[in-house]
Amino acid sequence: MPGRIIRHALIHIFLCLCFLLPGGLWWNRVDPHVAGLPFSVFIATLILPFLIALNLAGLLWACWKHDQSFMRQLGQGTGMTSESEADRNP
Amino acid sequence: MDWLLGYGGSILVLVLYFAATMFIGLVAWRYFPQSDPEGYILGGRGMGWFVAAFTLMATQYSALTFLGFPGTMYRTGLGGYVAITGMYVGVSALYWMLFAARTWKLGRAFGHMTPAETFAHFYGRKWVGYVLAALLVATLIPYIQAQIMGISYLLQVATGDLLSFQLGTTVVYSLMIFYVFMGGLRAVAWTDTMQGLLLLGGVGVGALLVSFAAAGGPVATFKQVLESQPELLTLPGPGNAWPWAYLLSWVIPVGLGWPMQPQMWLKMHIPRSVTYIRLWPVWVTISFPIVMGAAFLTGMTGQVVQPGMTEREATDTVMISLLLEYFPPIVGGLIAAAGLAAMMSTVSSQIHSVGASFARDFLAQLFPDQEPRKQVWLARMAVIVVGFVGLYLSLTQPALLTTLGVFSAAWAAQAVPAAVGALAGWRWPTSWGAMAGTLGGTLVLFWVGLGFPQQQWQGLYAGLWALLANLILFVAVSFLTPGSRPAADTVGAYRRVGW
Repeated sequence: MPGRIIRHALIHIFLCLCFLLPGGLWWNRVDPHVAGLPFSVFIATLILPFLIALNLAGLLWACWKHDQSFMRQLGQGTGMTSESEADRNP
Repeated sequence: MDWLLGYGGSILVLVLYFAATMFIGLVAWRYFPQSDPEGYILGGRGMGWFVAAFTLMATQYSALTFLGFPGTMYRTGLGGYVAITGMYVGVSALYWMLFAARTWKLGRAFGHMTPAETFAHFYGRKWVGYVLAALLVATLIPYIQAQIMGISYLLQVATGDLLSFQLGTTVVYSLMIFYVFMGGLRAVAWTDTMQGLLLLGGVGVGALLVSFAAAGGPVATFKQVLESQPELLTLPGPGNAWPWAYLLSWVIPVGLGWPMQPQMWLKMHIPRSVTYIRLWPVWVTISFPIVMGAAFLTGMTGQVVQPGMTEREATDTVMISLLLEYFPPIVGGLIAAAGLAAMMSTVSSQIHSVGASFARDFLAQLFPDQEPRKQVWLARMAVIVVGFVGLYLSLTQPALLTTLGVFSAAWAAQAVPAAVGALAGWRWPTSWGAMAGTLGGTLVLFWVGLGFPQQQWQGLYAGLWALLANLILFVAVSFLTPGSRPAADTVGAYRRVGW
């Protein structure tokens, strides 16, 4: 598995742990109010999903060049073996 | 004018919705006739990003979004929201992040369509494909039944009990089978796109309407809940509903189960470009706070205006009951159409994927020399047979299916170790390891799930125990049976396909 995917997967797991344990122990309270919402609701419904989406978009960006190159090779009928070269030399 | 605001208008909305769905399904069939299995089952692997994104979203959000999750959040508050977020945005999105593009590329390289084709090809044994195909199809039948129950309920509410359970279910189900039969995946994906748009708008608008009419808006709703029942806005929630350990043990197997289900796996092959498949988890995460935030808001509004409900059925239908209380029936009809969109998009994809599985994983393997056109017809026949078997079971065996349906996702998750072994192209897993893990995990799931109270043991959900047993068996049996490892050529070919 290429390093770029592993890096973003680790960030994803870190953010999920912030969302569940142990981060949940920090944000799991109703004060202070943010934008009229209790702190727990603000974090759970808005902030953490946003950060996770940002990381996923980051992976999309990181894979962009490899994917475009893969699609070009696929169009030429040579795509199935050559992307692994790109994966080995990210 | 009165009839338009009453049930007459509501029925008109539903008729227009069904007509639009059928029209889109028939256009897909008329202008894109499918004479080969790839066209019928995968839409020719040629969907653009918009259709690919919306068909995923519409398939993922189902009857539970409308009739189950608002009730869960009514009863357990923020805990329910966090659990469902962890499941979709945490675990399912991580799986797609790691393996969706890889699945797409392997499909292009080797012509795979269904999950069982990938398993049978990698492990080099047809029976691995048969067993896993049967398991994954079995996990879907109770889930299809749950959707049908939801469809029937919404039809009764939106038509003022004009349609009986049996009649409404049969009519809607037959319409779905018809457009899936005719148009295949393209019909499913296009109708999903319309239904996804309707779902996104309907559930959001419905929640806001209810919140403003009943409790003065979202901020006022949360303020009132904070004053009256603050435990609903923290974990573990009222009555220790979601302790952290149980929450994690539930999130992991259930979140891994959704991507394994055949309708979700098939859809990993349909986008035209690999970039579109990488957009999937992004799209899931962005749409999630809108759809589930609406369910959460509805549950909390219910707590403000109708606190103290304890029956599961009453809490599950809180959105519709509040809409009918504060608005004329036509508004209920509009939102019910959005609910029907959520359910129909899921069921049609499931029927299609089960038909595809029968055609590709069983019939095409047993009779490999079929012409492509004949394979398409066999897939169509399988859609009809599977569709009506599902309908028959829903009408006659609801209790059995409800019992099995509880485990639908955690059961499908038992295919995860075998799937990861194949997708990663590992040399060490064996066909016997994959089978031992999958079947052993299934046994543990049913043993703990049915034999212990609240489907848990030692405070952990049955699905996690099953997944742990599965992993141990998968690894141990693989190392005990080195003679049935995948062929070196196959492993090499999988490794040459990129990520």
